[in-house]
Amino acid sequence: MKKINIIALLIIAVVIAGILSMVGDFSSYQTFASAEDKPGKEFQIIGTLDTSEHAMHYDPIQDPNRFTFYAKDESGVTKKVVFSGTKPQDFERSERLTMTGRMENGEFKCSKILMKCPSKYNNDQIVVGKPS
Amino acid sequence: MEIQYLNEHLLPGQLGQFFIILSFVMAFTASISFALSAQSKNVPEQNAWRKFGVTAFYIHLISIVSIFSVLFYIIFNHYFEYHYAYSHSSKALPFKYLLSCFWEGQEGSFMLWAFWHALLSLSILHQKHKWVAPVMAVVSLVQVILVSTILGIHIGDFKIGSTPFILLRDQMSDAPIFAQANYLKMIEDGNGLNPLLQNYWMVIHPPILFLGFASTLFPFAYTVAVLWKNDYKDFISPLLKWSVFTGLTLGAGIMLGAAWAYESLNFGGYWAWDPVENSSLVPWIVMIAGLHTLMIFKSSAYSLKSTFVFFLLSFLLVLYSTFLTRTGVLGDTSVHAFTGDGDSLFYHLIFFMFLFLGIGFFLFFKNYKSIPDTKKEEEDIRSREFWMFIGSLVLIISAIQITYTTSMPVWNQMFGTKLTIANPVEHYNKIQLWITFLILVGSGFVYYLKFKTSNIKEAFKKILTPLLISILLTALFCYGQDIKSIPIIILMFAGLFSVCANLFYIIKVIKGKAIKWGGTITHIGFGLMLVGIIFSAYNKHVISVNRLGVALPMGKETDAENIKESAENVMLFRGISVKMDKYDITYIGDTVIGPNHYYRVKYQVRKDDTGHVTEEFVLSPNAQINPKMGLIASPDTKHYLTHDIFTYVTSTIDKSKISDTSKYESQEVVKGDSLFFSNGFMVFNGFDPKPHNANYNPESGDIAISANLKIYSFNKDLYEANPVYVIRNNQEHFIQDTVSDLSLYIRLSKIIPSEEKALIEYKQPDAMNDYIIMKAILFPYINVLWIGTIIMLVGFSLSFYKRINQK
Repeated sequence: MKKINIIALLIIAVVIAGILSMVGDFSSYQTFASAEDKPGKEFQIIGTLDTSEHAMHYDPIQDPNRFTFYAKDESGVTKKVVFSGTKPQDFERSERLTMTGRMENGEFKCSKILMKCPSKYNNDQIVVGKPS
Repeated sequence: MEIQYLNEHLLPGQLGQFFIILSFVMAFTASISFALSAQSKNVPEQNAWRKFGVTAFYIHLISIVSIFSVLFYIIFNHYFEYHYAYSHSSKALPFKYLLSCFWEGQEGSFMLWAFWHALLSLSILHQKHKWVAPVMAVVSLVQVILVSTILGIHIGDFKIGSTPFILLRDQMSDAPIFAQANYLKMIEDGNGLNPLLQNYWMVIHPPILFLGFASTLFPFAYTVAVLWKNDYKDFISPLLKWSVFTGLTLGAGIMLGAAWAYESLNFGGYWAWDPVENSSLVPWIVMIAGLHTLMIFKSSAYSLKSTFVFFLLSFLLVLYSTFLTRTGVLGDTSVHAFTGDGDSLFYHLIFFMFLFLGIGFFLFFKNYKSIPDTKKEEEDIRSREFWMFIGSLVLIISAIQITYTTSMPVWNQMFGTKLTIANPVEHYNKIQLWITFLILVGSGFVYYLKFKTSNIKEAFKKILTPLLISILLTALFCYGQDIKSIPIIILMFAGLFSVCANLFYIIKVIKGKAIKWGGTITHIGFGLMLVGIIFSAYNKHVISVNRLGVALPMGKETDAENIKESAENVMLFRGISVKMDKYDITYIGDTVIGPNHYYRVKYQVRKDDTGHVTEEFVLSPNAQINPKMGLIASPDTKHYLTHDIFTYVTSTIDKSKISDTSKYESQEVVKGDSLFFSNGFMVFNGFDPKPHNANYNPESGDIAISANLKIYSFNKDLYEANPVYVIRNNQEHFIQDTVSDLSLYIRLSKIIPSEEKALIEYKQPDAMNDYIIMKAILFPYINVLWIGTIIMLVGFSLSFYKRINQK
């Protein structure tokens, strides 16, 4: 089993090299500030919807693929986010947003939003009706 | 003071809880009995313990079936005093989805899993061979742990498992509602089933997937049995049988999941490298690697150690998969991770994993030296087994890479890092592409090599024809489909090569002996799947390109690309057709059935010169506006032989929030008169003294008459309306009729009998208030993927058939 060991080792080496070369794919969750340092590169930012100063804007008649809102990242900075898609239903109720996109001219151009809504599946709130 | 609650049905719950305890105790008893039987040296004692174990296991199986039945009874009768029924079902839920309630909750899916283990064990329980006792000891021990997750008993502050029979008032004891004895009267309905699960795919996909998960236990259990007894005779046949069976069932489960995702989720495809998908794929890959190394051992006595390791790992990875998907560890990374069921399950599953990891690998290393291995000279590089082994290693590498990246949230928790991947699909694809390439090429040429050693010249001569044909086909397809990416072309070649080489092997070498086709057919299926994936994914394109909107700077080089990236949704106002690709599409109306809101979208193809419609079909994508989860869109797909048109609604308007400001217009008409509205006209056809209107319920003493109207839309559709005029208790009532496709409301508000005249009032609320925003994607040749999948599963079935008929 000599040759096979050598080949196995070779393959493992290639794989490790391959996986190491993929390290560039990994990135930490960023803040708007750190994404601004590398404009054009795609990042994921976790934040919350901030409607304290600016309202969300979605006008499908003008453009169904543009939805803008303001989000606050984990460091507390609020930036304008431009999402190229439709406004997700019940967006205002989201608790947390994971946004994928890039910073451009002070705006976060976002291509994907994952939203966490309050207790998505098991809602341990009882809907009470009137005694019948 | 204790409150005496009214109207509760406590008996089913108590009965269910009794069966849980019984099945737990019996699994434990069976495990001990089988273990004693396996350890015993004399035959009568062995038999006595084994028989005792078999009886205990039967009671265990019956208990599990009883738990199922009781829980079903509770759900079926809507006993919302039980938390499980309350949180996973509702009164309106159709019968066919009641079963899906089981696998929405963690308790139900663990029961399903345990049920499959017990059922599959029936095939072993009555055999007489030496493996029965040790294998069943392992299986029973797994059952002990599985059932313990639904025990729901407290030992001091420590809670073991959570029972599906817990009462709502115990689960949420703080809620003020439970201060009242008749609280049940106030609970009108359950929380309902997750709408994603209200789908026929979700009735069949989870049971098959869990069958696949359950199957991985048996290669594990046999491996443990072999290592435990340190006896290396007569184990190949059952191991082969079970690993092929797992390949079949788990493969089918995974692909049913892919089909479900494609048919009813709006992820825009069948595979998204989501952690939930990955973690069910990895055990399958490792099982397939084990299956191949076992074949090597069978023919050449090599690689038994690797085989054992792979079979042990496959089951452990199923446990790990459960850990990832059920404990909420995945957090933000998965679109459809299930609920976090709390800390108790977290530690429960960690214990589960490490217990069996410990048992398996303790025995493996303890007997490491006695595991058979050839001491002969080194393997020949020209032998089939050498390349099969390399192939298995490549599969394992694939599994390692997927597991490593999928486990990112686990690493993050362990090391306090916050790593993530911005674009996971690209990340997986670029590595797995080359791994798949190696697997496909290997599965193509390896059959042309012989075990021990082969004549390379001869093998090359035989393989030349399929090689040339596949090169030719690659050129043809890549040119025809305009595929320009070099890696994709290379992968396409590998897929076609695998198909051709295996096909030729059947034709030239195995010939008529269909029973022996299993392996080759499986490879052909896999190759075709890959070709189908390339076809459908490479040229998949969004056809709902919005030409009106403003292009966003998406970082692409040309404007055209920017527009394509940014504008993948079109807005459709009701009744106004929009040009999309070669289709004229029109949103023609909507229907509400249960929780589902169907939007009918008409596709028409017209001849350019005459405008004559040559093809027409209507798709009804469905969207649920769910109060808890927002918009849940399910696509509707037009299947052609060569491509699919996949359509789903991305946004709609909530009609309840729009105030209707439009006013009725009125006109007096006699029979034969017509009335015009914005997109059509109607003709008054006369009165009908016996009104036919679904909204009108006749009462005695009514004086009622309806007007019959034929309605012609400019789209050349024909409708009918029958508004009713009623005098009831000396008062006028108008029962209007609506043509929902045209959002036209019509009523009959006056009759002038002397002149046979009718006063018709009609209105059309603003069409701008009724629209959908949708996306349409074209998947070319996706049927190749599904055909490949079916062929692969047929191949596994053939192999399985061969293995069970071979003693």
